Amino acid sequence: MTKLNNKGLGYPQPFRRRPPVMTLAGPAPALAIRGIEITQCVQDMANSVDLIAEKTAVARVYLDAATIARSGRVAGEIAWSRGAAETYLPGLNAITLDPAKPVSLGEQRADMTKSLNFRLPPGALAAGRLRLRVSRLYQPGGSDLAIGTPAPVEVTLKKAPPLRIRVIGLRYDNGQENVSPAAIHFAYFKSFLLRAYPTASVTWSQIVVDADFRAPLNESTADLANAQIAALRSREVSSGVDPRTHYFGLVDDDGSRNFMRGKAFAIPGTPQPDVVASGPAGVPNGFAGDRDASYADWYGAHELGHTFGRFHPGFPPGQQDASDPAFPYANGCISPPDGRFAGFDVGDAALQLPMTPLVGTSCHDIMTYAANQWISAYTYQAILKRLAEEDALVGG
Amino acid sequence: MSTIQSGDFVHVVATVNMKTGDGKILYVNPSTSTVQSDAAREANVELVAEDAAGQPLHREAVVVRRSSGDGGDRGDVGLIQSDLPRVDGMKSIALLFNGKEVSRYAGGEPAPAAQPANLGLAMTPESGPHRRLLELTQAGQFQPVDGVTYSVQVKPDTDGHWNTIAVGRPTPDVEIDRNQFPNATKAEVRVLRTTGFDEQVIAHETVDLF
Repeated sequence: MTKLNNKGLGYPQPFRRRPPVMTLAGPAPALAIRGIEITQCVQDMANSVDLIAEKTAVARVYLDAATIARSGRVAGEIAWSRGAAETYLPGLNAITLDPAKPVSLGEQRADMTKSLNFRLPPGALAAGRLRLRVSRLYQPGGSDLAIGTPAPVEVTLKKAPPLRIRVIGLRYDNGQENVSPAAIHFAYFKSFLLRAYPTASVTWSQIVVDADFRAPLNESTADLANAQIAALRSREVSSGVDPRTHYFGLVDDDGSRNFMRGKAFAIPGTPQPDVVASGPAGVPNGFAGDRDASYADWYGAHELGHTFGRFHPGFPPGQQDASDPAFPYANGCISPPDGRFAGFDVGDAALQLPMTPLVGTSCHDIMTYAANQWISAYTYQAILKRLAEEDALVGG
Repeated sequence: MSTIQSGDFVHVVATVNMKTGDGKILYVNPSTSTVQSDAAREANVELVAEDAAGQPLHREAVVVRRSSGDGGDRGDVGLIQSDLPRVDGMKSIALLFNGKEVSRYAGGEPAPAAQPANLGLAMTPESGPHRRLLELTQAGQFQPVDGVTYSVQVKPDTDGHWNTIAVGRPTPDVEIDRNQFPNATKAEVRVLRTTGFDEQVIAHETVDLF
């Protein structure tokens, strides 16, 4: 219950109960830090996955509840620097630590409420070296806490080319009316590419045109769609569109009545941005574990991944050919079984998609056909390499 | 290694079934840019460009791209996307499988030289709640002619590039959805008539989109 001290003029000073002191345990009375992970999409605790300059990044700090004697709330600040004075950054949240309910590092990485999270500001995300340390831990409304190890984290942010993509909605006749993708499918696809692909910017354009096919759709529809998109792309590149632009055909599933299985025109072994792809769009209703407003996002990212030379990991067995024998993780997951890699979706406020940690051993790479798709470090790094190669196709 | 090259090309899109030998040339249009890659060409699948007398002007084995579909899908039907160097006098293109012609595109006659006309753009009466359509009011006067196709392109005042809203159409009878060009108030619209090898702008008009 809040009591007010009403003496004097002005806004009264509130009476607030200070939180109980979290007595620190152990011979070195400091709150230990298990690690600091800087993630944009997928990462490990060594921060070995390339970080992209200007791309949204979140620093996650994992505290060790075993180094306190009683439970309580903890908040924090980090200090980041780029070869000059440090800048302090408050966290997005406070967390509850309870030594009676210890959680593993893996559990912390899987739960936003079990880590201190810091959204790095644009100034911290320019290309180059970034140094980051935990500068303060405290009980909200209470005392500061002594900080244990580890040492500051140093990472390098690398410039990445933009993803250049033009998405063509293909409007077709279902026998009763014309069917074209709703705006939400374009928006989800664009957002997913910005969140999951190794780029800080998506050079995006979209349009809807009449398809050169009509319902019913079948296994050959994607070939016809890709042929039309390829012809259209050639026309537009000849009219001045950047020749590094990927073209993608989006075909609405007409409320599940007309599903076009997606395909890429090819899986090129060398940089070939003229390879087009097409995919379906619709409301997932649980399709592949997806319960948001569109499956055009991850499905499109899969087909587009082919145009960047990505093959199938072969998962689930029997449902997908194993054309990529080098895929490194068991069961098509985005991490080996030890949970080394964890995915992280930075979310999209415009689509009401929250920041979400993704468990590496239960999410599957976008090049699989399995549920709960996200991008693995393996696919992420490969697409980043191909993006750079394609970018170099045009000098200057 | 891949390179992007500029020049005068004829862009050909075709399908070919590597098992049955069936194939079809789907789109033929002039182009000015191509991606040259070191992807392996299929020696038994060729495109041959010929003149009006049937004499070969250019012949090349092509890259047959297998789609990303699984197993069997990838094995049989291949897609061809080739930019043949444009040579004066080209009149037709043949797709050969094992030396046998399986599809041919024969270009029509170029249109008589003329200034681009105004085809007239008008609101359609039933645009629907989420589309605001314009149609080429004189498009109905065009009859399909073998070897002649049309592309329709729109350049809104918010964009420096031509947006292609139709390609390879037998007539220019297409609708222009004004809602496809957000924030634009005006747009240039042009209709291109192509024989696959030669192309002319037969209509060019500026319209209000708002």
